[in-house]
Amino acid sequence: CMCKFILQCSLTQLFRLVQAGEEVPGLSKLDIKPNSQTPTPSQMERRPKPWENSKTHITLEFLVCSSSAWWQCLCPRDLCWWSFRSSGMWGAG
Amino acid sequence: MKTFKFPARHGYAVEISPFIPTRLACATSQYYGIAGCGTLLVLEQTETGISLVKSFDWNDGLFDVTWSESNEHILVTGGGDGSLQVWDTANPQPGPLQVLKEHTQEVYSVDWSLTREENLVVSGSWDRTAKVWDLSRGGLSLCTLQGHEGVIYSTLWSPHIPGCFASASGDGTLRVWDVKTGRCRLAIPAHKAEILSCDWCKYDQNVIVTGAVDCSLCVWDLRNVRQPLSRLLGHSYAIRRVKFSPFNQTVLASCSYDFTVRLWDYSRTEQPLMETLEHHSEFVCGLDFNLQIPNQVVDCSWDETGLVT
Repeated sequence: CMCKFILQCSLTQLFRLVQAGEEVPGLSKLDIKPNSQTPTPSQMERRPKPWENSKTHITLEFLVCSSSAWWQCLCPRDLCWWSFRSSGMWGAG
Repeated sequence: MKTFKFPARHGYAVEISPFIPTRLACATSQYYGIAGCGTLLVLEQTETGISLVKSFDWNDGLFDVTWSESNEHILVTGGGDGSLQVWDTANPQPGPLQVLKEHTQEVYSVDWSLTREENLVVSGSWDRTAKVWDLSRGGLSLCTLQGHEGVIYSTLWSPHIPGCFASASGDGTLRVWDVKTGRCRLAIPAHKAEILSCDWCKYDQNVIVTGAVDCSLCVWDLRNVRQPLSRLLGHSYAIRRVKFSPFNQTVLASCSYDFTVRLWDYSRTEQPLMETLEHHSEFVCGLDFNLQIPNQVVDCSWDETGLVT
């Protein structure tokens, strides 16, 4: 579509200018620095998320205890297999 | 549908405030993020449209934004100069409160932890590392997590498991990290292409979705990663961002270089694609669900506009 063609033209021109170290028209060169101030104190209570209802809370406490289980129950053989796949599949770099 | 415009800026990320459901933050860059500055826009939805509350400029492009979970005024952005910036919307002074500079290349992802006891931010960078920061403890990172063999595009905290985050990378893997040990616990070759985005299911702590340059979304159960639970096809170009619904266990939204935003329900095995929104004329990079208004989605695009459904 035409808009993509226009985008590609201007992106190409932009790349050329940047690569050649030339001035890009309208480019903003700013020098903004942190003000090192302390944050404005919060005045609002944190709201519960939609998934954080009381029923889910009880379930989550149980799941958090068992969550480490899925990390640990993934056996070393599986981990090695996945590492092998990832290194072999798309080569170096 | 309401729109917001940001002339001469290209939208990279948009997030709705967890405190104020009508408040949005949009991270934008000049010149598509290739050169020039960045601008953080803080916007407010009104009855009639969307108005600008405040804008903050930065020296380089901005690629991601995250709202604080403990203070409604605070946001963090990630920039092209490798730094993170901490902003205070209620502070009249110009500039960020703090700048965190350790990454050696672009910071493409920032995320504030959802765990109540934590006040942590995770950043993902093109320097192939992820870093964890505690903003209340000064400007140094707590740890640096290495292992990816390609640029990191996305880093997201688990909403359920403290100290656990997922990362998506140009090396084609999805990794799950444990901050307490500083180790990668899972490395999944999820796509044969760069993975630009991932998100955790809000109702099942074992489920993650990935979105990749191969135009597909894959939903994974981390207890069995040999094949995905679901593979969602429909986008015609790379998927730039994916988000799970805060209200429905199997609903998710994706945005793409094909200019569209799509809504999916992966439990509908026959036809998971629910809706395609074609309102943009350029890459759609930013996407978020409203945590307090069911079915409201916000997006932002390189076409200098953003939309709220």
